[in-house]
Amino acid sequence: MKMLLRLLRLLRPLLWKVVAAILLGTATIVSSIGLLGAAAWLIAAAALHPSIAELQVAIVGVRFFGISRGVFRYCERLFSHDLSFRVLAEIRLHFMKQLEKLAPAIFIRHSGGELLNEALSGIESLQNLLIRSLGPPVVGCLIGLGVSLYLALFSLRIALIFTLCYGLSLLFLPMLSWRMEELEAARSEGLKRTLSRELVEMLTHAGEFKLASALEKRASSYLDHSRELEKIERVSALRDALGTGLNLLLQHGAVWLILLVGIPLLEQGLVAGPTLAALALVVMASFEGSSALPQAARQLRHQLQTASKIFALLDEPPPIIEDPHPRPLPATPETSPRIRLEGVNFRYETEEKTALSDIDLEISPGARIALTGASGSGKSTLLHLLLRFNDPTSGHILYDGVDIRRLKADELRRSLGLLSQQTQLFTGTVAENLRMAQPGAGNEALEDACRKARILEEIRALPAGLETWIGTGGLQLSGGQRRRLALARLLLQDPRVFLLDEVTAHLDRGTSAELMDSLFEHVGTRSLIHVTHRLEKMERYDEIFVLDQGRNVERGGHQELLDTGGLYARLWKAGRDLLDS
Amino acid sequence: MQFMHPRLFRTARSRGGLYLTVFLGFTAGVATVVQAFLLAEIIDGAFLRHLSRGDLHRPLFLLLLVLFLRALSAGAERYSSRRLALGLTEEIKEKLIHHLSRLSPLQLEKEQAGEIQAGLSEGIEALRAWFGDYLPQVLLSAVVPLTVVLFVFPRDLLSAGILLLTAPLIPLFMVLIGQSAEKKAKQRFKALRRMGGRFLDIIQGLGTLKLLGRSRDYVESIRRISADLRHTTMEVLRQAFLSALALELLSTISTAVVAVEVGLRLLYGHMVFRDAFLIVLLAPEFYLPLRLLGQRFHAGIEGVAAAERLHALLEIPEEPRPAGNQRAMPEHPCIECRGISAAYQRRESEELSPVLHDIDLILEPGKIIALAGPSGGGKTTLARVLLRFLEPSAGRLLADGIPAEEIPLEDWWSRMSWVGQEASLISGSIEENLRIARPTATTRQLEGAAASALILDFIEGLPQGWQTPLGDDGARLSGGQAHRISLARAFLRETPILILDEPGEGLDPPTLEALSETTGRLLEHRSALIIAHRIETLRRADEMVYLEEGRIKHRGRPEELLAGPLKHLPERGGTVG
Repeated sequence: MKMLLRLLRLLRPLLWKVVAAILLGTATIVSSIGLLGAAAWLIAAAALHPSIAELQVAIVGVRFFGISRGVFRYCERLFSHDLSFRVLAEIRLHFMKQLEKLAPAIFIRHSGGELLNEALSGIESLQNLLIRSLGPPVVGCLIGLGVSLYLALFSLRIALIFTLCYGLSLLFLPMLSWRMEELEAARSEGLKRTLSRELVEMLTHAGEFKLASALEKRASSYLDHSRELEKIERVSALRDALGTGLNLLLQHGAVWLILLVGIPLLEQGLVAGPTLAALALVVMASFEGSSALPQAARQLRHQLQTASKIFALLDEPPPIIEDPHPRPLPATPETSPRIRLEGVNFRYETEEKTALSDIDLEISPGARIALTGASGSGKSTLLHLLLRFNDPTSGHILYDGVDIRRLKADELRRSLGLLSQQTQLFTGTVAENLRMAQPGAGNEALEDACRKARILEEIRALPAGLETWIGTGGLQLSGGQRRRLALARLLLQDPRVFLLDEVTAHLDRGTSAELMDSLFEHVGTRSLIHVTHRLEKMERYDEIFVLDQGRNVERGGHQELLDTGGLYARLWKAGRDLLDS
Repeated sequence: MQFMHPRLFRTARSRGGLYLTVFLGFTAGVATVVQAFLLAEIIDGAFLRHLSRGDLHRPLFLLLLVLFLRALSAGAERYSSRRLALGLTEEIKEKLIHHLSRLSPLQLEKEQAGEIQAGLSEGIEALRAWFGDYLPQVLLSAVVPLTVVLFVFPRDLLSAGILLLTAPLIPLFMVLIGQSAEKKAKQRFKALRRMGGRFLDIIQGLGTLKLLGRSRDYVESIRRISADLRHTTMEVLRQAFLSALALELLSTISTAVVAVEVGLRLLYGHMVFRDAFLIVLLAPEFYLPLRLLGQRFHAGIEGVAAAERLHALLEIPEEPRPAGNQRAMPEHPCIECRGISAAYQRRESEELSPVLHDIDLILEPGKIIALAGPSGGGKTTLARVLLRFLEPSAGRLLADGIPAEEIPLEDWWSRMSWVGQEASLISGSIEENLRIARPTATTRQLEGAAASALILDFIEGLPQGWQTPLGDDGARLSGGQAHRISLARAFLRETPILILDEPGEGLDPPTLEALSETTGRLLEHRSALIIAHRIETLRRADEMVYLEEGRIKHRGRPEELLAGPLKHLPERGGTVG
């Protein structure tokens, strides 16, 4: 219920459109009722052979309703679909706004972005919330209310019969279907997930399964689960069929009952013949108002569940709280700020182990620092703290003497340029991708950055140069081109400190050396922090900072650390044993 | 566009359920007509013949009976058609899965994975809608209106004429409008995909945008993208709704025309009330099945498209099974490659892209061969040929001199284990993960294998022990632990031949070093082909083969090669030249 209110609140700006859509929906059904009712009255009245003038209204009515039904239906569909896209846009925007506050910490917590993709398709499934789930019950109630009142004008008893039958069809059947959905949904969704997982496993590990002659067994396990799901679906088919039957029974049972009480009324002259004929058909046609409800109830339940999953994601506490009155970045004469970490500790909320303990580190302007250690030792976490993806559990990070929590997070991040192993490009043109780092930059600036990143020639060779469309996520470029384009973007960003996160991973050594050489050249006199587990040309770093399970165990120059013969020396030796893949 | 897809129809016809469904639908249709007839009879009696409720008890009772019959048969028809659809699609699924399990792993992993997944989820759904909603509706649209007309015909020729004249217009309109809408929809589809992709992009790139300080701008742009998406989609929908409007108008206006025309003739005494009322009741029922068919038109198109996709999957050719004399795989075979070349079929074109040329190799019992070379040099392909996941395009593969084609695949595989570079865990317990390698293993064998892979203590230390679930919703293993599970599988298989793609940069150096001891133990008493990623591994081999561009560039004793032509390898890694 809370969920429903929360969703409805999102719809508030669209209130009038919602009302209009509902009215159009109601008008459509009223037209069908009118068509049948007027036609019945026309025939019955004509049987008494009155003058044609007396039938004129009914004739016009029949013709009018005959046309209006289609027209209303058309308008309603057009209107409500347009509306549902607007609803979708509102929900999407709300989702993105919330997500923006949680990013990128949330991406790190929910690895692989799978959860996000799920949420995304979940949001898309809310598209029909209005047309299929929320609209029909309202229209159904309006029709029920209107027809009951109309019938009461002629006979209370007839009105009562209708209200009873229609009410059952309006409430009982949808409730039944809601309850059934409650019982089945969890099991059938679980099975569907299992099925898709089993299929993926079967396909990706086909080789191993075949080798062990286990593929057949996996296949039959898949089919067993599939049959189990089929059984559930059969039950749900049975329930649907029951609903169809019961609805028909209520609909025509109502007509039958009305005849049963109507005939004596006719005898007593309390109701005219044409009226009784018309009322019977009005009742018959009214049930169109409740026919879509069982389906709507099931959908609604499903959608509410999806929505609560999505909102649960958004309700996670924001990873950092921004200072409401932030200070501007300190302006210092140096090219890079002096960054100090003092007694920094950090623990992810969901985990027991501390990710970083007692880190003290000073990055003086122009320093080149390498951060290394085994995977999971906290290297990347340290970068994330600098970038304020998260805040330290205790301790301080100072930026030219100012605690970074007091600074404007956007400005802080822009001044720290991050280049990581995965290059994230966006669907669009080369120029659009570059201008993200510096909106409004001229073509010369873009070309200059590209030249420095050694990609200008290749971009000029593209069909439309800078304006070339590079496909979804830039996938029309090669991996190397993507990396260099990301570098060009970083150079345009013109950060004061360069943060590199495993940029050389999965590159062969030749390419990796080339990339690092060019990076050192661009960094110039600015500071650089390189997180890496590939230990190549380590002599060029001023300080190597070694982490082990979140603690700083060694620090110093390359040769110095090698001579110590500790963890660093072991990492270095082991790394030299590795061939390129 | 055709209303009936012959192959799908044949599939459906093979089941009695289809006839039952149509029979039930027909019964419901007849009940509808009889119900209308009785309704007209009762109202006529009470209204014009002034009969009392008592006089009318017979038709009233019959009406009650008929409406029960109608509700029952309509409900049963729904159930029977859905059940038919479920049964048929389940059968198709089964056929597909069995077919897929006979394909070679390469065919499954590479080319078709996405297609197979989509086929088995959306494709099956679409087929269900075709069998369960569309097909019965097509048949009912043929039967029910005819029954109605048969009733109307003797009572009023003119009305029957109107109905018969307008009826064929409905499917005609449907086809005409459907075709143009389909074309339009296809044109729009690309634009839609592009915009949808953009949206996804922003979500996935939110982290990067935040670093660039641009995230808020882009979130705001969602509003514009959504609006564009709405406009484009609405254009497609307007077409579809317009066609629905045409169909709807045709049926409601015809109903209205019939009502007025009948009413006027009644007025002038050319007709009796009972017949006139009956015709007005029946006119909407006449159009109903046709209108429903119009609503399910889309399911019709999609079902056929899905069927074609699924059929294409069923037509993926199976690797030819060796015919003729089936010979047994020797116990400890010597595997020999003689002048082997191999190539992959590119997906779109017919051409083969060659990756291995003229490879000679002998893997004697107890011998270890290490493969090295730059990526794309053909190391993995050679391993696949040895595993017989890929048929060589030229040359011969022999086991103790017996041509591989003469040895059944299962037999060949029973002598080999394969450990990939990335640990492949499935969701399920640790025990299930190990049992993949040998479904019939005893507890003792499982424990032995885990102990050899140095993972037994870890497993037994877990709160749930062997039953600890792995995978998506299970425990997370570190890269090293996951790899040990893979190695434990190989221990469990106890095969004389091992093909191993050594883990490389995916794991950090200390972990790699720790795994090396376990790998060494696995290699004892076995012949092995190793795709090496560490110098240490090369040194351990009896023979080293350096592959580049699909050819053997260097081969010999590792210490000689590493001191001679490949002496730069330890310093610079595998790239040469």
